[in-house]
Amino acid sequence: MTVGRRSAGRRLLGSATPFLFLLPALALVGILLLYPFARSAYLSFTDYKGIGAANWVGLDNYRNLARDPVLSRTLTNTMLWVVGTLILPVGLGLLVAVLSYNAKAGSILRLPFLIPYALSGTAIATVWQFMLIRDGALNNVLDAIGLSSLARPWLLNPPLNTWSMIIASTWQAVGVSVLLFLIGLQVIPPEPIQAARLDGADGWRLFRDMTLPMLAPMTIVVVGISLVNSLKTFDIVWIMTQGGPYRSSETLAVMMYRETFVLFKHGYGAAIAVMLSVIVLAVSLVYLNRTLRNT
Amino acid sequence: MSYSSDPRSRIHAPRLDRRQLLKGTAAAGAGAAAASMGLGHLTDVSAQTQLSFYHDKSPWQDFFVQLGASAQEAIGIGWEPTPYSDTTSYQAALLAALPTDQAPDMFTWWSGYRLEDLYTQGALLDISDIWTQAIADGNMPESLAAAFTFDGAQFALPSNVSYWPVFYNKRVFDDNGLSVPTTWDEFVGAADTLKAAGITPFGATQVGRWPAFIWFEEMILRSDPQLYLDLTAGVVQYTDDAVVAAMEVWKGLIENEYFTSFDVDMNVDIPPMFANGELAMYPIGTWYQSNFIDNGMVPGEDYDMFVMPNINPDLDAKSIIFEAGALGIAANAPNPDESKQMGAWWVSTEATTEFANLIGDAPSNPNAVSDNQAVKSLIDMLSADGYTLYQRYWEASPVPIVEGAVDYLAQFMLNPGDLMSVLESIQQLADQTWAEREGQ
Repeated sequence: MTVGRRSAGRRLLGSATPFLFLLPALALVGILLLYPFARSAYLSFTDYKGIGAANWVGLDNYRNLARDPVLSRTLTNTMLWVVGTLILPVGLGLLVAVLSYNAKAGSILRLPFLIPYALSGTAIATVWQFMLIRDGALNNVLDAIGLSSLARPWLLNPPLNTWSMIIASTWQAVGVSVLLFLIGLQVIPPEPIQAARLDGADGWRLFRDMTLPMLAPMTIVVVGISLVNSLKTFDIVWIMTQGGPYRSSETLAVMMYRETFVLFKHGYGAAIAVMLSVIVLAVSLVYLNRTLRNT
Repeated sequence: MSYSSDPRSRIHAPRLDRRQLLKGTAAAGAGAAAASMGLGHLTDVSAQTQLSFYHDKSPWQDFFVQLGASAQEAIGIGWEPTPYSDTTSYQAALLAALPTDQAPDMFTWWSGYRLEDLYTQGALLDISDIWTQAIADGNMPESLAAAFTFDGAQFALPSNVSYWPVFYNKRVFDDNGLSVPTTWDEFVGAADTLKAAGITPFGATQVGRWPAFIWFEEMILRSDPQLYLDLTAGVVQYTDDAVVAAMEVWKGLIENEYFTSFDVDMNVDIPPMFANGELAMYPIGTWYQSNFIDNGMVPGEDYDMFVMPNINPDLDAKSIIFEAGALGIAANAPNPDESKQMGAWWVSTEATTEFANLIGDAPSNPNAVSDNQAVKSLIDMLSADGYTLYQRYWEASPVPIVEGAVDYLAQFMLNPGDLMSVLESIQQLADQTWAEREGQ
């Protein structure tokens, strides 16, 4: 009996061993990710103001959010960020990576795109704000070269202010896309490309029919990261416009921050956070589900 | 300067008590508290006490350190100031810490309605006894207490007091043959002259959100100070004819292109523009002067201040906006008695003189004298001419109204044609906010 118990215990320990190794990681995820999310979800049903009691208010915060006139503008801006980010940093990153890959002065061509990636978002925002204000560097340059008609207050009118900030963000974000696409290009085996060349494929056709499909695994990653990051856009907007003027450039993440930490409506801010999380999760699932199924 | 002649003894605080949340006077609250507490028991403290002190005025960190050293010398209590460079992060950190045993002893905050949530959540120590003593000693004007009073008792001290005049570049005025305007027509006439000379007459911006209220409060106050009080107290609607008329005046100034571009940064762009003569006038708090001084300007020589004239020529009222920062003691302060002794020292003539001269702003204590000639002249003028002080819009009305209003006012600045829809939107917010407060 004793021997049997021992061996049963050993078997149990043996089967539990993998879970014991997983435990620290699970605990970290639980403490740092799941608990804060559960806490936010709970707060979204309360009137918590950052201090004092959190009184249960049911779905009031979500009802108020649905009625909030700022929400539609915020969702539109967030969508602009998603579309802009997919077209500009991802598209430009792919272009630079392909053009500079195997090119003689490729590293020099890539350098201007890689340096901004090393800068902080706050520094980028500050520099671009200096450039884009009405009396800023960009309008001064346009005036100096006789293109005054193109000068305008880039950060004052919607949706131009959001597009201006997307361009500023592109300046930084294109670097990481270039890096990732370069890695993708390096792992493409040379044989199929050579075979395609022998068959007469060249230039655009070679890129469209051979390189691009073989880059698909990396493209999925780059697009996926960009998608999620663009939905969460916060720092550059907060520094450059604080979501203004008159809340015209707010994204969902900026709206969440403002309601929570500027207006101390923590319950309402938590409701926006939950909505943002649900959107990010849903978009990610749909995207990964479709792209992974297709590949 | 005698106590009675000081403008700060004539502060006309807005009716913070309209909804019965902020009521009573300094005298009533402070008197009751003094009877029960007194300051006598606060004398037995350790010579080694170092209080924790949080603030979000990072440019003043060295000054706070210096004041801590002076306090250590004077009363045997010092503090270790912890600066936060970002106000939003500071507020979040403080709100999280105050209900816990991690609360600091002392901290800076904002007065009026901005202090209300901390009071209603019981996060502040009642310091009415310090007020009673300071008023008795003539170290604080009784009327200033209203900005820190809830239910008849005081819950914070003034960390600093600023006035809101119009700063003007003296060289620019001299070069263009201008003198300080004393009527609205002269004020606008000066703007015309400056504009014709290629100089931007007035500074204004909506960058940072809050600066959008600066010209708004001036337009209302210069039309009728009672209108300003009634509007901030919710007695008058934002769509009232008198408010519309005041806004129309502002609209006229915008349409005449008297202003800087509304996307300039008040900390980065405006000071050099003002210093090099591209910009002539800027209405802002006296705390802002360090920006001019940092650009090589000497107070009283290169720049000076005047009070914006009344729009309505029949109006006799002499009014100016004031702003009071708050210095609170946490209800959960680890060293409440020592903190109160530090608070009592903070409002002394010695401390207020040293601090005001370090930050280059007006002293909150009527017995203190500023070494800044421009500030001294302003205070002397406010005293001599019997000015009444009105609390800044930012603190004078409930937070949800003000926070929403600054965004709508920015919309008006950029699209003056939206005037009525902007005022209607602010009024909707005001209706909702006052109704919620009545329901509480």
